Amino acid sequence: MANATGEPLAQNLSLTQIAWHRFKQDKAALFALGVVGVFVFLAVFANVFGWITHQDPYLFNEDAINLDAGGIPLGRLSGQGAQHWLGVEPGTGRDLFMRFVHGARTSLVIAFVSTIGTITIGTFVGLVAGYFGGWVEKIIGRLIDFILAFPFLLFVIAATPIIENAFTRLGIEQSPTFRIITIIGIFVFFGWTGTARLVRGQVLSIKEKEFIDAARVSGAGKWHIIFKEILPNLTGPIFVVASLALPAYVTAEAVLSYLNVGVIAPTASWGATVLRSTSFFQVNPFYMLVPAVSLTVLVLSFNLFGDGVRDAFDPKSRK
Amino acid sequence: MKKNRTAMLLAMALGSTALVVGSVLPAANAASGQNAKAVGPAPKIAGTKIGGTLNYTGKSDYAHLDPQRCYSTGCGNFGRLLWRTLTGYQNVNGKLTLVGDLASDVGVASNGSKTWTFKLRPNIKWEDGTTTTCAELEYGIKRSFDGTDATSPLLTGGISYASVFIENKNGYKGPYETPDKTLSGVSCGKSGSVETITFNLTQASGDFNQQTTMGAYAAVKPSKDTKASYDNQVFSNGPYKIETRVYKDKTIVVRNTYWDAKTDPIRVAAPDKIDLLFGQDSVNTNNLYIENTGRAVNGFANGPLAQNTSLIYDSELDALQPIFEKRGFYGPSIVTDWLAINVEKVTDINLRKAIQCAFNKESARATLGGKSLGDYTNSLTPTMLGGYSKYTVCTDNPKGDVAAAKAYMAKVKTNKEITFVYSNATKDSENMALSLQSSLTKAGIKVKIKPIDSTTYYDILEQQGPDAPDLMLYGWAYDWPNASTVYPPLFDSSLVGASLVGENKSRVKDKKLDAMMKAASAESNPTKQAALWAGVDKYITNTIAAVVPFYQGKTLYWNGSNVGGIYFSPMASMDWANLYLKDPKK
Repeated sequence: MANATGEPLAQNLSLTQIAWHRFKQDKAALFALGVVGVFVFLAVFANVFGWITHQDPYLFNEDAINLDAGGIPLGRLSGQGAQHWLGVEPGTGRDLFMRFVHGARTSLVIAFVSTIGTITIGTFVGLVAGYFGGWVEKIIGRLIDFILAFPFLLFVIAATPIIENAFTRLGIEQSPTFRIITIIGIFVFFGWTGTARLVRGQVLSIKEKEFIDAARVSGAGKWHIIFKEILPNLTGPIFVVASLALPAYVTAEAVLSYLNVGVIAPTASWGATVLRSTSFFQVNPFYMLVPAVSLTVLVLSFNLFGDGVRDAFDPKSRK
Repeated sequence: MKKNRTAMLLAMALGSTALVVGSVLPAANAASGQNAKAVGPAPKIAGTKIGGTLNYTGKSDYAHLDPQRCYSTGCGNFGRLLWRTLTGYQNVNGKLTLVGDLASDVGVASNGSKTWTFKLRPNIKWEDGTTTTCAELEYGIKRSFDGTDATSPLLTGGISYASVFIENKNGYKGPYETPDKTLSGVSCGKSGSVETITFNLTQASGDFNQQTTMGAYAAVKPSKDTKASYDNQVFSNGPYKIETRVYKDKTIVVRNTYWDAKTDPIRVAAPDKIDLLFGQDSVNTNNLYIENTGRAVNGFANGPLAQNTSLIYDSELDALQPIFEKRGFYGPSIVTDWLAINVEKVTDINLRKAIQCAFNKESARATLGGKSLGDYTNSLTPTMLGGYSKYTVCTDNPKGDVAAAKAYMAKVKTNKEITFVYSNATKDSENMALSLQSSLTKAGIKVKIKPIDSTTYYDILEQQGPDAPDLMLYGWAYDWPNASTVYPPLFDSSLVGASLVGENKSRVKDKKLDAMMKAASAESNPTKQAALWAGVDKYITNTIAAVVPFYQGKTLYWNGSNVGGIYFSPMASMDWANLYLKDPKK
């Protein structure tokens, strides 16, 4: 049963179910979700495209470029065709479509893992700080201030080699995979603070409510109250923070790779492709446009999706 | 011991351009003779006119002009206009003859080439009109001990040859730290009315009189020695003296009026004035020389490819070619580049030989700039040096020989994964790494490519331990035209230490090779010496397969329409000593 405005009758449904119902009405958000879905599909099935086109994202391909002319791709524009859907990379002959889908994979893996990491840590720390208060909250509060004072970009550029050298001394060799883990680690290190602050604020108001008192009176333990009574009421805000964190990490990864401090060769990354493409814009604009536009579209879609999620959980925020 | 980092970086920065442009100027064979009786004036190129102002436009200034601190081909070449060394090269159209400069002969060796005596040329004047003495030469040589031996050196940046070769019994550490001590290996004397200088060496050196062409063997007047500031205040006994010097900005030199061409068999010094401008944007410089206006008419500058090629891609270079043919020139540089194989980590010689066969030089060179980068070579000796010989390392086909590589791979016991390291400074070096990986993979060699931060790249190359690379690109330029400045600095086993390996990137510790290099260094007959160096070269490339020779570099220059006397010098691409202005009044 629904009332006249299409809002479901609240008494039988959970907050999440109500939000999902509202979200379904938001056409822009649904469309954005669809676009994100397409990118996720490309990333998940990146290898399948490789089987179809028989291309490898990493292999130098001297048959696709003119070695006498400095590695300019053979063929029209930059060698686009049935084999190379987006042409090949000047200088190396690597297939640009394969670099593109594998770049999507890099981007999304870093974004999703970083988001899950920041949300998990941030939520836990926020719950603890908000619920216990006192010196626990003070210490956590100062720690958050301290981390927020760090210049992020400077830290990443300066600290990445130091971190990696430290691990090399421990016998863990530098590798493209390890660099991805390092980047995720740095993102999580800087990212959890926002979530923690938000969650702490929410906890402060929720813990004063009667049902918490009721739980306490009926003998529930601290951790039971935190995880079973308070946490379920935070699903909405956490989901909103997560959906807005994703596009931020997609952008951050691309920026780092563009600055040559992100993922390392031969890992495919849109940011790295944009960096390589700048000198070739006049020759083959698609070389730069495909990753650059995709980056924009993906971030925009994530943002629209995030807005939709926020509106669904908190319709009053909609103008 | 000159590692040509700049040349390597430039080479790597060349970008995807592979055009052969300009007019090729051949560099003559540098293994030429010597003339013990050469007198001034220096032979002039036909058409040389005296007078006028010559310009130079450059991106970066010489790091040092102090002779005892000068260690690049650039400052060595230009600095010769301000200071005279014990011996020098008379250079006629690129053909070198070793002659006395401060000396009037080319030295006499005795005691099995461990003692060398030179007669000094009289009447060489400083810019204040006083005569250069043996004591001033001795003082200059002593200064180079400050940079190498002093506890807190003031004169950094120089070469260590003098302190390695000259006997030093008293622990001499330069004139500032040990003013009361004497340098036992150098002594001034008299032969009749002529001053002489005698060197006692720590080891036999058949080509010591070529070592004395370096800035370390220039005279410095003690009363004019301003220590670290001398770099910008060189007191001249050459044809020009400093009028203005603003480091990294501009330098103007004018005639040293006391210099007498009759005392100088090396420098023609035709222009009255030379005006050098540094810190100039390469795009502006290119435009200036394309239009041949302003400073460019009377000047020269580094060629378009040698400066910043990201500005001149493909179509632009095509358009430039006809102009570069008229007012540009290029020739072989003194740099060779090769892949150094770490023999301590890649212990199986069959695997090393497989790498030699599988490496596709054509593809790798194309990623670094193609034909403009350099010519393929199988030798580590540049073509202009005695000791260069044309021979084969696995194959002469620049694409490599995959079948031969596979045959070696069949004999390899453990197919170890090879790590190739490269600097992440440019995408070209990444492309080169990918190309190398691709060509080696085709032969069944397992290759991992590893980018290194450009700031720590050269440190990683010489470090031992788990991070020591298996395979790397390296290059070298000789110090004087003798292979004795190529092989011993690169392959002597004493360089390989527990934590660092210096320039011995291949980590070669081979007693037989050490003995071969020692014998070649001690040989004073140039022809016999060249044959010995050729043997050393082949031993390294073919017998122990410690390197994969790759290419010999090229150097490119712009020149204005009014500049004459241009040819490629085997000393350092350009020779200032013989440049002149076709119309001095212009």
